[in-house]
Amino acid sequence: MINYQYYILLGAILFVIGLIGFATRRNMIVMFLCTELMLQGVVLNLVGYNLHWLSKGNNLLDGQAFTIFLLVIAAAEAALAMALVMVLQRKNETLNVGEFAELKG
Amino acid sequence: MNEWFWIIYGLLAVGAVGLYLLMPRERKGLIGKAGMLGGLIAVAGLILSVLMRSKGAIGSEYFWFCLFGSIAVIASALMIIQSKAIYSALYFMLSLLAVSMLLMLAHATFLSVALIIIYAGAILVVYVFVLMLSGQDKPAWYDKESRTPLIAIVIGFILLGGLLQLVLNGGPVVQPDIVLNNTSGSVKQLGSQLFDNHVLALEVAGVILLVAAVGGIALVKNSKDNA
Repeated sequence: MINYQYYILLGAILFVIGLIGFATRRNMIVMFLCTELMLQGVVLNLVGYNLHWLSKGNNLLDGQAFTIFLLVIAAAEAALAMALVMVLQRKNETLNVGEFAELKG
Repeated sequence: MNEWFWIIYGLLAVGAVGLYLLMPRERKGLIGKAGMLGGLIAVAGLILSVLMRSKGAIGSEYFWFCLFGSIAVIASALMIIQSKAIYSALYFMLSLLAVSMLLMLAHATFLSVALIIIYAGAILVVYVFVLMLSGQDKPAWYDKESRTPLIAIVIGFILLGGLLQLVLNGGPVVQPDIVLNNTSGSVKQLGSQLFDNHVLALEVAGVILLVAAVGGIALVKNSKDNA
């Protein structure tokens, strides 16, 4: 069996790459895609710790149950985010996040 | 063990420089090739260091882990540097397939298939449809320039260095107590545990999906259309 620390390592790498992509891009849809990449890093983290738990003889799958709820939240968030993106794009004809700065003081 | 830390931080620095050179900018060319070389060196170095560190448990599982792990990291790094948004979505789908195979290695068989069905089959299809409906045939100016790439990469890789310090420094290489058979993480076991231990969370998840569906329709509906 694989040592669980490598799953944590890979989860950290994917999370940080998603974070860099989120902070760097201007396109709204690509920013949401980078958010989903961060969620993939969290999924690897949860399953890695569950692997460690399973390897100690504890037969609980709580990490995987948590991941299912994470998938539910990701699906709900993606649906609402895409609805918002479409409404905003209809309003301003652009996908640039910098154009929506009306509340800036 | 101390020299491994310098090697890994050196690989992180090479990876950071490579990713910075690959970010969308005005003119690419040789800078893009140098960036890709730096990124590949970083990934190859990380794979070698993982393989050399895990002395006690070298088997075929580590080969598959390194293969799918490198595919996931390379695909996600390629995803954030594309100027066309649809290529980003497709590279994310590739990274998702690699993560799904990694989950199958971690005895989470139902989750790996559920990830493909739900994420790649539903969520990313929604993204691709919205990209189609947003009507971009060529990348606009805001796709070709990235927004403060230097600070983002420096802060991101400092965070990664801190996380690696915790992971690689946090104790000896832990050997597993037992060896799992193939039925852990199966649909039957996960389903029975979900309905035994997490019933309330399951019902709340259903309510969340219902609220999201109603909210999505309410957001897009134009109130002037309603007679």
